[in-house]
Amino acid sequence: MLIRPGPRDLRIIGLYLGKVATGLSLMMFVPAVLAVVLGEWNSATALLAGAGTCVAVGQFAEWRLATTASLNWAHGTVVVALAWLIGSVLAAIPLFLSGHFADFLDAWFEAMSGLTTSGLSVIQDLDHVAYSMSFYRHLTHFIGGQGVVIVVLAVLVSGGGATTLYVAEGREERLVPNVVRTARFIFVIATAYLVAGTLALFLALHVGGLRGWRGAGHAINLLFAAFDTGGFAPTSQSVGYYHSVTVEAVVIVLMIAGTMSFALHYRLWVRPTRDLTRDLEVRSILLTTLAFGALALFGLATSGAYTGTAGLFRKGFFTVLSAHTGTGFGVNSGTLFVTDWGALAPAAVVAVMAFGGMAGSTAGGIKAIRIGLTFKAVQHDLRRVLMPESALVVTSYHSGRRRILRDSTARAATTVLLLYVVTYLAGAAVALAYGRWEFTEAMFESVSAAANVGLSVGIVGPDMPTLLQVTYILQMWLGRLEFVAAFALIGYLVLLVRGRT
Amino acid sequence: MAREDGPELGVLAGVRGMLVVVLASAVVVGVGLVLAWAFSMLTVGGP
Repeated sequence: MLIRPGPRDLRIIGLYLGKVATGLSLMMFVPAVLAVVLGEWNSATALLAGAGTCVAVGQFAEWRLATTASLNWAHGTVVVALAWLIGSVLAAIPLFLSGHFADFLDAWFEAMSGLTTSGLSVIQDLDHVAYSMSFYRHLTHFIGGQGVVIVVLAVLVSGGGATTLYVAEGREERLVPNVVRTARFIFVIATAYLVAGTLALFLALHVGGLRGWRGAGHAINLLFAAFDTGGFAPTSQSVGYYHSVTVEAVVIVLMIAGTMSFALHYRLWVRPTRDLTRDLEVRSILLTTLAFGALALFGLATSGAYTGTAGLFRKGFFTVLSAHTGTGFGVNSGTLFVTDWGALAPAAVVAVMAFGGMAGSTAGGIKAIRIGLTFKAVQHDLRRVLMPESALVVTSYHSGRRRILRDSTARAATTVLLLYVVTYLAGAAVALAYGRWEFTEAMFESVSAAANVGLSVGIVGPDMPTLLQVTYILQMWLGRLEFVAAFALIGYLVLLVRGRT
Repeated sequence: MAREDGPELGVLAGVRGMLVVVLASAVVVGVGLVLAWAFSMLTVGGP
């Protein structure tokens, strides 16, 4: 029997949403201090207004909704689903007040894109945004990449609700049995890359001619966007702005690091094993990168878009890596995908965007483990057909340790894969309904949004249709939550109306 | 340290872990360069 949630349930959900709001205020307070130091008073006001709103929401929740009740599975799932929606609305406040967005919907789109590490942007006059606001925009990648709720876990929650929130946010791996420790380890790994990656980017930018404080500012913003597979960039020309092979090389390393699961990072740190070569997910993503990279380069070479080794690698292969890791950095104008890249290369880019990075990383998409498991399941069924009836067919794979492929695992992987495909097609259908874009363009943009990538053929922009903009916001949200929490929220809302008392 | 806390992540462990990632990236870049060179050969003499 399905029971209608009562005031006690709504109270605890509200309380935890308040904690998330408090966590987000910290995300705005840091760039606000930076704005004051730099004398960027408009940004400081906008960021403090956002932080103040978050603190007010958080304090109101603590004041009115304090309860000793503990968080159950349903509560945790609903909190996570709502946290990403309400959190992105709160995160949009400073962006909207910055004056670089036509309306609040645009600012919400940008905030959702930032927090979900998508990187699609509708900002106006990006090249003249105040540095502190640009820093805040990139910081949303870092906070969202680690998981908005993870922030709360690591900083504000130490009680029994932590495990529920952690799993509900789409993370299954636990680096150590204690989930709060796991959340803190994730931050240790992210902070280590923050320091080392920023330093490497600073040196690369220095070599490329961007020096001093300006170089340092670009370096930290690029780090947030690359390691968290986000895709925002400090300038409208993205990584192409720097015209530097050194910068591109460092960015490639950071994108690859970002698309690796935190569990794999952890294993490489604590006990270097042969995990990298045996792991199903690593093998899966390597194979699809090389296969679809080859297809893209073949398409580019035959279409005549790029014919030399340097052009093919720095434009073609870089874009494939940017797409597959879920980052979305561009090295050429997005419209070239349609006008100059022929048919095969953009199709390969769409495919790798759809596949996505590794589960438990900051990347989106179907995820390499599910692609690998689906392949293993097909292989398993083929072997069962070809071998004698009496034979016991066992298929195994390596993921941290050797595991036996079970029907339930394979079914779960293919179900999520199917849900992603449906989401990709639904987003494309909405764009096609406007009659302004071809199927390839509609599919490219839809996959980019739902897989949280950020590459664009030009549909996304300040003048995009409102319904399509809302569709992409929902796609980014669904893609980040990998459906479960979002569906649970819908079920919870139905129970509120139709459940038994 | 309690068993459920897991091992500490030291600086050396971090440097070693990051070096593995850099090496893996170098392999991917190397293969990408070979692919780019191979396909550029397709267009020798004009696209």
